[in-house]
Amino acid sequence: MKEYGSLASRLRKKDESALEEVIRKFMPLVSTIIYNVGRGSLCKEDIEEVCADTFITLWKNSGKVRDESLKGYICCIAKTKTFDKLASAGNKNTSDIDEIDPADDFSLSGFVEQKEINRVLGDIVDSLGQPDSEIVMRYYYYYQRISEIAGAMGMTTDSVKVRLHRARAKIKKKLSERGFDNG
Amino acid sequence: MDKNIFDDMTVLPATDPVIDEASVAENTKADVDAVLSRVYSSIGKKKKRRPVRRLIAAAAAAVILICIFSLPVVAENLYVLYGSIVGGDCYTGDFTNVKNAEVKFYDPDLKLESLQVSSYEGTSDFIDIRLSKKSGGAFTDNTFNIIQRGDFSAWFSNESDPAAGTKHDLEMIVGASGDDKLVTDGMGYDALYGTENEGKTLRILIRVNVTAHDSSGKDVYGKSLTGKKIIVRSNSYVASGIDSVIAGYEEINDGNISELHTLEENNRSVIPYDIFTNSYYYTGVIYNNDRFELVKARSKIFSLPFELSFTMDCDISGKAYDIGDDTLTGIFGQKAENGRLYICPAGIALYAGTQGVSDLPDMTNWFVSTKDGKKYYICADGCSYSEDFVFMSCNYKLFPNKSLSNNFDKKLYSVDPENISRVVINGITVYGE
Repeated sequence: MKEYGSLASRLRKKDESALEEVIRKFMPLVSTIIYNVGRGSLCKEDIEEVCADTFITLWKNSGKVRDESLKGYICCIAKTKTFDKLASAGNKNTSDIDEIDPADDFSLSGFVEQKEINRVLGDIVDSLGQPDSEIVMRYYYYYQRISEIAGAMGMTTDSVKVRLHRARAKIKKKLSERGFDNG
Repeated sequence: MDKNIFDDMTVLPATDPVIDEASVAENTKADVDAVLSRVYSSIGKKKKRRPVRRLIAAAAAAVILICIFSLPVVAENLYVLYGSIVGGDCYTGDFTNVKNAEVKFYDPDLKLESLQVSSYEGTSDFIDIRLSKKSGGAFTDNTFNIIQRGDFSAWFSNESDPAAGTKHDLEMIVGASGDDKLVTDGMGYDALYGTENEGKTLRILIRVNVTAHDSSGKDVYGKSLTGKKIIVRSNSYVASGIDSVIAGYEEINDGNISELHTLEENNRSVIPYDIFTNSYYYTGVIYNNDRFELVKARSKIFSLPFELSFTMDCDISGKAYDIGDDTLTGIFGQKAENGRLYICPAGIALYAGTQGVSDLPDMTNWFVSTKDGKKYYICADGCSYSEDFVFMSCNYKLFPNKSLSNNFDKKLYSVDPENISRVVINGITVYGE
């Protein structure tokens, strides 16, 4: 992710033109994440508000932005801000039953060493190989719906579910091998 | 909705998918100007006034006119390229002194609208070609085998990596006809095709990385491409039906099934399970008549309607060191051979052929010390490291005949090959003066 190195560097120097560049570059990604995490419960104005909060937070913390993690950092902020927004709105979002993966149990609460997991998670996801790694990223990181993933990757929804199921088992196994356990 | 363990991941894996403008659903699109206003308002700045659209259009028209009238110059004497080139193998080179560009058409109806070489944010270099027909007709999928139309914004607006599925492998040939040499290790390249102007303009973007090395000598060569003609050809792999069923695969066991799967897939659908990019086949597994079958699917090879050639210099310098097979086995825990360590300005990489393994164990603790005994360098992206760049972990999948890749910014993490004193991997010194 070093392709954003120059942007990150300019952000650290409080270059306002870099901020605008970042906003224009990452708006589609950020708005998609916000929409996905909100499961469609946020209106356009809400999405714009959370988008703005995301980039304001980025700007205020731009000194912490590292070259290799600009994109990931923005994604994390966007998700946190969306969770905050949902919490303040009473989290009234609903999900299509077909989009729910019943075995989806990667909730944070079971894992206590999040920082340590961060260190290895990307490697583990990469080790899954395509297309499983991409499916995992789309589902868990970008909160895309299974039908969206299937459409984007030219697969059936059943196939995405199966691959997700198996990828999850592999990730758990690899985390367990590295001493992580969600109890 | 609970947060999951992926939510706080900031260093994204290499397989991070592209979520760009094209993939944004209409109902998720936010007004960028509204967001900019909110942001500027919050940080106490007025939103910058932006030129009106009419002015932008006029400026764009002027640029287009300038481009059209300067085409002959552009085509024959390309710009000097600049910026670092990332991706690929251990080391990267800078393109310099690009010249002698020539486009050879195989279709007399074609004409060159524009040909530019440019750098995007100093990280990738592009050859941007626009072709049209003298007859004025539109390009169709049928006539030019445009098998997948790409989204150019994926490269220029939101991401520097094209979306998965829009890549095409290109062969880049060094040398004149009869003396062709395929640069297999030396170059990375992607291409994106699409039409503009209601199909009347065929636009082809080729992204080029140079990662050359000389596997026959001890030194990584510099200026290796000087004076050589480079020809771009296309070579795309597309499954087009089952070509053969490989006998004996029904012996697949339960363990393999969990890896290969397809149980829930339609019985006859071919799923590319593994792609051997050096062959002309996809290999896939299908579930048919209650048994698994390994099949090969024919690939489709198509040619660009032209050959583009140019010469350039590529500045690379570094060192290569042979590593004993026993040492490699100690590192990988598997049989490995033909190992080599590369120390180059853009990074340090380990290269090896391995037998019977596709998924290597973690290679933690890459410690690279310099002669002053103080500095440590990291190898590549995807690895964790501390604030002072000490390697924390590295979990690469190292396939036979591929080396560790890196993507880090040469300017920030440049390695001085002459100043490296020791490289230790998993406690084994693979290089030390």
